[in-house]
Amino acid sequence: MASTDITKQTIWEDGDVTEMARFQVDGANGVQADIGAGGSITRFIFDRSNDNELIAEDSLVYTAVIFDTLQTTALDPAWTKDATGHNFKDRVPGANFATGGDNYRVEYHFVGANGELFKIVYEHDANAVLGS
Amino acid sequence: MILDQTSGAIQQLSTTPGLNAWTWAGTSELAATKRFCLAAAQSYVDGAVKTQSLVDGATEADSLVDGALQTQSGCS
Repeated sequence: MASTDITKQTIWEDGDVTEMARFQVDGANGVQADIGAGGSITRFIFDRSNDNELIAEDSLVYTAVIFDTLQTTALDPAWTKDATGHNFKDRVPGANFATGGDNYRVEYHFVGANGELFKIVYEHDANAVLGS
Repeated sequence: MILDQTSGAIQQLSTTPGLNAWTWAGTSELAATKRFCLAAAQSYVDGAVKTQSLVDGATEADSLVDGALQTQSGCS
């Protein structure tokens, strides 16, 4: 896939969503050291249906969201995209998707250990929950 | 005559009036940067038997089919 592709998935209003990806660095699967203490990962959440309102901006700990070993479906049943596995996973709390019917964007901005800039972007239509 | 303009990270080295020799006194070389790219991505919603993430612009046929595991591991 292209690095500028946006991954889309319908979610529930107020429902958690888990974002996963496999990224590569110089042709090899990315590892924690590619970010390291000198880099950073920031997660932005926007409500695209409300003039791109910034819902949240959080710094993530790279050791908590990047895996040095690819997580295949056998290790993480949530990953069904392919047989290779993922090396990035983040659970986004459903409180960020509070309005049913809105479209939300989740952006991950990576700054690599050497200052490299890299983004992974997801978009979600939030199905309304009538009981909320 | 040497003018060391440290605040601007630039040094002006000149011994001949009227002749200015400029040298870059900042970072002498750029740190080696690596190329990041996205090989695959997926979202997962709790409680779903199967979640089906669509990449922007992809058609249904491009998305995951039950039981199929794509083997492509590269990215562009």
